[in-house]
Amino acid sequence: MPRLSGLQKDVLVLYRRCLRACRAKPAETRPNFKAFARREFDKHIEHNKKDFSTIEFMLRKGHRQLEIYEAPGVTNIAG
Amino acid sequence: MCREAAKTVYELENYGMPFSRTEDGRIYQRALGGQSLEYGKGGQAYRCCAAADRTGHAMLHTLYGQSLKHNTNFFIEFFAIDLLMVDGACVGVLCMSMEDGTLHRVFARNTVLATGGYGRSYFSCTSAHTSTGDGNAMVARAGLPNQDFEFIQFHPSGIYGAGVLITEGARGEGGYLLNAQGERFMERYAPTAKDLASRDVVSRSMTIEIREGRGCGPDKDHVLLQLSHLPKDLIYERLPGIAETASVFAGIDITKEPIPVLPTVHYCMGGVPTNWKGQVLTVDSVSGSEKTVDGLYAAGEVASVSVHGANRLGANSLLDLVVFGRACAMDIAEKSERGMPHTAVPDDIGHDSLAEMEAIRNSEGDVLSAQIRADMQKVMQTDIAVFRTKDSLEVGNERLGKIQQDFKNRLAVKDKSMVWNSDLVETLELRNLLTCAAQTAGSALAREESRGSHAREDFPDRDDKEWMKHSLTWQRREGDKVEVGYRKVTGTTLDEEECKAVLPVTRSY
Repeated sequence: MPRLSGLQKDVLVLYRRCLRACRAKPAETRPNFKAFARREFDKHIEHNKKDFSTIEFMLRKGHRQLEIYEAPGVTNIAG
Repeated sequence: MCREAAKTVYELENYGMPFSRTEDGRIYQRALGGQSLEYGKGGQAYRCCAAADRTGHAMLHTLYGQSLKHNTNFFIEFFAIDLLMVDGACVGVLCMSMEDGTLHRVFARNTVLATGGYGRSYFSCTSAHTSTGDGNAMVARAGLPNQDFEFIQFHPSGIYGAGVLITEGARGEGGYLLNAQGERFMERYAPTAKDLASRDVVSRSMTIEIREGRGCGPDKDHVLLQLSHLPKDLIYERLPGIAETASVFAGIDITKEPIPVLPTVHYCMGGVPTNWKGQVLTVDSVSGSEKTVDGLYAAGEVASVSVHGANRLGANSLLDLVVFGRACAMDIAEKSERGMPHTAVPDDIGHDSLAEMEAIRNSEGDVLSAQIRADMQKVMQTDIAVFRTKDSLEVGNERLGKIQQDFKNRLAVKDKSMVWNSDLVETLELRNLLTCAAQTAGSALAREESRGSHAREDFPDRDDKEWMKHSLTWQRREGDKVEVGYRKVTGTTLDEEECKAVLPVTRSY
């Protein structure tokens, strides 16, 4: 495996946090949350890996979304 | 509310609210319009506690600081679109995050509405741009009534042109109103209270002076508020905000010149009907009796308890808010605990509200929502203003009907995105304003008497026999006919032993 850059590691850290948060959700709706996380990352998977400022912005946005959605009160997600 | 007032002031003071103080360290109290001793017979009362001239601002920051202390979850930049109702009970809210365009259904056992009034349905108002009657409209779309919408308070001293408010405290500290001839005209209209008569009396007097040609300025369309006779250090200590506001918005130094003022829409006495615990009331369509709506509370300008009746006295809005906001909280605390289950809801709850929002977002008409809003504001300002006649109200109702049809059929929303779509959000706010305006016009036409801030030139007297009742209005969708109903006024106090009911008398200052 080629060495991962700092930014790539940050993206993987965020994805891992998302998947861990999904485990805390109720069993019936867990696949919805996992699918949502996958979709959010898939939206930008083809993005230029040298465009640092945009990737950093998306990371910040992702962290903010995670903060809202990992709250125990959120029980289902759609779309 | 009056009983809880002193306790509330102490509580706020303990939270850290910076009230002004007298020389011996007690809270400073000033005179305010309409406040009297001995139920009107004992002269002016000096009981309004204040924090210089920005009491509301100070209270806002104090309470915000306290709420941060208590683990409150804030959803910032979320716009509430509709209430979610199941079998006539409120189970939550549908809202949109403007920041990333996502829609959220928030389920809650108890929803408290505190969305403010709908001042922005008029062309010139003292309210912020967000004062768009969102709570009132959400309640109307849920099929519940709104109460006493025809009572809109015109504050006597809004700066001419900008509409920014000059607090009543300016008149309480000794300022007075002058017409073009330099006369203190309020002495003619209210010999005892003069400039500290109730706000609707002062607004009507100012409007009459302007109409009879004694207005100031090149168009003779405003009057002047004189403060330059007061000592400079009094002005800078007690009214610093006004000094700045007048210099920024009117270019005037209040220690030397008078301020040009005009009656401006300031407060909406009407709103969602509640009882003294803050629970929202509705009329059962089958039996015609009143009942509370489960899970829904309201406090502040959006609600109508109603402690203000047809005209609100100064300082009572802040008091109303704190006392009844606290009443909602105590009622909720009594009935609920952490971790209680939610009611079961159908899977597709909220989908019809979403469909309506989608239809608005995809509208491709020829009239921009800003144009529709400007039209509505002008109609309200000309036809449903300080003085109303049958003709002006009928014309106003008809024009509003046409504007609502335009909104339904000819609307154009240019921005189609979901992220920070201010066009969509302002159109949704316009939808809320339209239903508030229509219900105001409908109930104003129906009430054939003059009472408080609802002054009709064709029915100039107060008619207690026929019209001592609250008006209720329903309008589910924009363009629907406004249904008007009535509800009895509660004439007794909650505890006759503690405080006897005060019978209504004719107002004279």
